[in-house]
Amino acid sequence: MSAAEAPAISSPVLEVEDLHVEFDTYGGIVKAVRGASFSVAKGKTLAIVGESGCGKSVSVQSIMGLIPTPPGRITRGTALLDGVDILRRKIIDGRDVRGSRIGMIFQDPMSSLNPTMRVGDQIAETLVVHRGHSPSQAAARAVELLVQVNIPEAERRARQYPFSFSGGMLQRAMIAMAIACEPEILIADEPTTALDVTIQAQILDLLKELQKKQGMAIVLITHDLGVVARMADEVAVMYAGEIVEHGTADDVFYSAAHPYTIGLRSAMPSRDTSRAGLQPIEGAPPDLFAPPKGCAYFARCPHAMLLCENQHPPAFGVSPGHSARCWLHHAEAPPRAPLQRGGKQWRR
Amino acid sequence: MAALIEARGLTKHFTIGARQVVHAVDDVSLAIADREVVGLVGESGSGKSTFGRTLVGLYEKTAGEVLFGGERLPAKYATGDFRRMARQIQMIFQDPYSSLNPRMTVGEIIGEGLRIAGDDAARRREAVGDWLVRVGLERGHASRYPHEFSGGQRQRVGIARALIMQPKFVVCDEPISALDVSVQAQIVRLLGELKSSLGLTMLFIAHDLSMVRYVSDRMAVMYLGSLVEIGTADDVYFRPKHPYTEILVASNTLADPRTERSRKAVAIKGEIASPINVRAGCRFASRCPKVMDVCRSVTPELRPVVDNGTERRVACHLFPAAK
Repeated sequence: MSAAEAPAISSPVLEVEDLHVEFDTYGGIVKAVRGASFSVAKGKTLAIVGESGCGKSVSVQSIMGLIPTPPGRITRGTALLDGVDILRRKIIDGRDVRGSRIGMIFQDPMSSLNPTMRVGDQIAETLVVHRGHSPSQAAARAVELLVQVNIPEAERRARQYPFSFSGGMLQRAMIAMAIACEPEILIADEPTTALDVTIQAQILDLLKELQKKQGMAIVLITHDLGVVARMADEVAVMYAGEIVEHGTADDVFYSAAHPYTIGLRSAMPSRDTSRAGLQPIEGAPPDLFAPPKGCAYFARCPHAMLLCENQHPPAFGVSPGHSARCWLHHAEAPPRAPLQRGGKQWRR
Repeated sequence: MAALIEARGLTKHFTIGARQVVHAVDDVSLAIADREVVGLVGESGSGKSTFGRTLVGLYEKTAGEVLFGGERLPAKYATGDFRRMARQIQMIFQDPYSSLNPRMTVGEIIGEGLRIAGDDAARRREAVGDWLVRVGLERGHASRYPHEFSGGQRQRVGIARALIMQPKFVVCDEPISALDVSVQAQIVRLLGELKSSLGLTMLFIAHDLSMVRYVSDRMAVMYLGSLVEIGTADDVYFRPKHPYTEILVASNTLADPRTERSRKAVAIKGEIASPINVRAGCRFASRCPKVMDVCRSVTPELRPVVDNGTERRVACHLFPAAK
């Protein structure tokens, strides 16, 4: 996907181009990310959605330099933050961009916090390291941050260890830590997957509120289309290491252009009373040790053509700002039946 | 309609030290008719899994009873009881990774029930092969180990393991929560097909409301060990009555940006309380936006309410009992 095709809302704060990430394993080289490009603008939310193993987490981890090298390595691509490629350079003006200009929260807050350190001290540490606060200054600010993420009795809570916090509270503490330095970008990797729906709603509301206040850009990694619908301005759908569809939330939800996106939608129960049948996507994603030559979705696609097996589809523009990696959108593609959902009933 | 399985006042408490009692399930009564699917939803810690496990005898009952086809099941299962009931009641577990013994082949796992029941090896091999095919795997897979399968395939093994005993009643404890979206639909469809062909009765435990509504005839909502609402799946989902159900439904995100954008912040205050040493009064009172004085002192009973003729029961002081 070229930058020209990305929706021109405002100039992006983070621009990732043609990212390739590989891992050496005993079984061979896994090509986990194969040419992902995306960008996110100030105050906007980009959701990267896909199933386990599609490369969505690896993409953002490589931006943050969290890929263990070896076995992992970034083989190609750039990630521009204000024109500086942070894949190669993490220190800008003597400061590590990670934790100061880009904050990150993770799926499992229980294992992401240090169990032997008081929660307040962990938040304060960020401020001491990045902002040069004095320990007492940082401690006071940590309590303010806990208040900001709606943790009751923040002062008492700051002195507690992570084990005294519930999952939802820990995720709030993680968010407090990530926003401590008022980052321009917040990367949220499956932030609510481990939480109950009511707590998920609280956390999503909190993220939205903080985004409004601080004008952060959010890159949200998730597999949950409901969370995407609630949060995203733009959506990138990932499959087998590639972004197969990219557009605004409305584009992707109401005029989905890639058969995989449509498949995902039909695999979820919808709200309509008629109980239109669930249509699972049969089969499994391809082996990334030897990615298919043509379209990665070929083997599972109900619209597959001969061409798809051997020719890798480029990203075709569907409408301004909306693109899909699918040969069906080639100007000379044969006429076809509309892409639709459908399927069997659960019973009756 | 005659109930196939009925819990009456089923209670499960765990003692966790001096005078500390976890009220995991408190006085839950639920009757499931033959060939009916009842969905059970609630947050983690609501006691829905404990209820399922107590119902099938995996936990000793603290109080209350379970009737299966009119027969009263023992409060504490002996080995012989499990052997006898295995042909009637089975369970499908949440985590297809930890619920299959990694040192047994898939064939041994699926055939274990038949082996204990005394079937000979040839018959077992035949039945295991048939079931592998029936759940969408291959006969040849019987000699492989669980680690050679993906999550969705393992869940298929778990389904074959449970259904090879040809039970009448199956408890599915979050059978799809650990799976990817596209695989969830595969498993739900498989369960639906097997349900129709075998005439199964099911308790479907999950936290995904949309999916529960999709698979269930009736939906029951649990909060801190108690049933707070039960009715037809569509009624509970589209016209929730209990304030907790309302919030649960409102928190459920939908894959529809227009609906989501028009939604106000619904987030409920606070988190699920501790089930240790609960006091009298409604257990939801501390979080309820519609709380009244009476809620803090009198425990509401689950009772029928007026609802356009369809059966609905709600445990909330807001609703007057139906005549």
